[in-house]
Amino acid sequence: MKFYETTYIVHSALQEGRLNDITESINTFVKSAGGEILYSDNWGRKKLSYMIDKQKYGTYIYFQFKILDNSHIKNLKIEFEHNPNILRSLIVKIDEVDVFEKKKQEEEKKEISKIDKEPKDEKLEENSSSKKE
Amino acid sequence: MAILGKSKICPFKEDSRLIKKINYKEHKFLKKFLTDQGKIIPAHVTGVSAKYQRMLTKEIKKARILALLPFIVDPREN
Repeated sequence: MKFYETTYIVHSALQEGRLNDITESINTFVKSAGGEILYSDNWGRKKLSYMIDKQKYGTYIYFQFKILDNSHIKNLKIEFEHNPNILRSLIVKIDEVDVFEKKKQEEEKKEISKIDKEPKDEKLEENSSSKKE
Repeated sequence: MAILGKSKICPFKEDSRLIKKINYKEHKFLKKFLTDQGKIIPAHVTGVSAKYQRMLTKEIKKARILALLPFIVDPREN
């Protein structure tokens, strides 16, 4: 399995409905190529450092996926180029360590373990108070 | 070596937590290594070691493609 991350810039005039259509079309393309999306995020509307296609603002979308056959990556790049609403894209290879979802799950596990320790302390306090009475 | 003969310590060898920040997504951190014109500052000025300077240039160039950092800044615009 090979891991990749992608960022692409969408025309800022597109709002939620149309934006979701674009993201879903890209996601279905990745799934049809045999990949699985691991993490996705929307960085929102940002000001670009230079004008792209005479636009000053753009919506950034970021996702990570894994795929077995890497010959489809060329087709993904072509898919970005066909869509006139996508201004720029970048596909980067990453290691499994950098995948975000696993880190989030580890943080949640740490928080859960902290919560589990607390009720034991309360039970000790109850026992001590009952002995005093 | 700087012209005056003073030697600076590479900031990435000093604090190894900064190595994770060498990433095209961290444009606020990478901006420190650009001049006000948007050019990449050479290593003999900042004191960065060669290995990390190579990583920095690669990530800065990726960020420039995504318009997170500029290629060039015209000082007349301010």
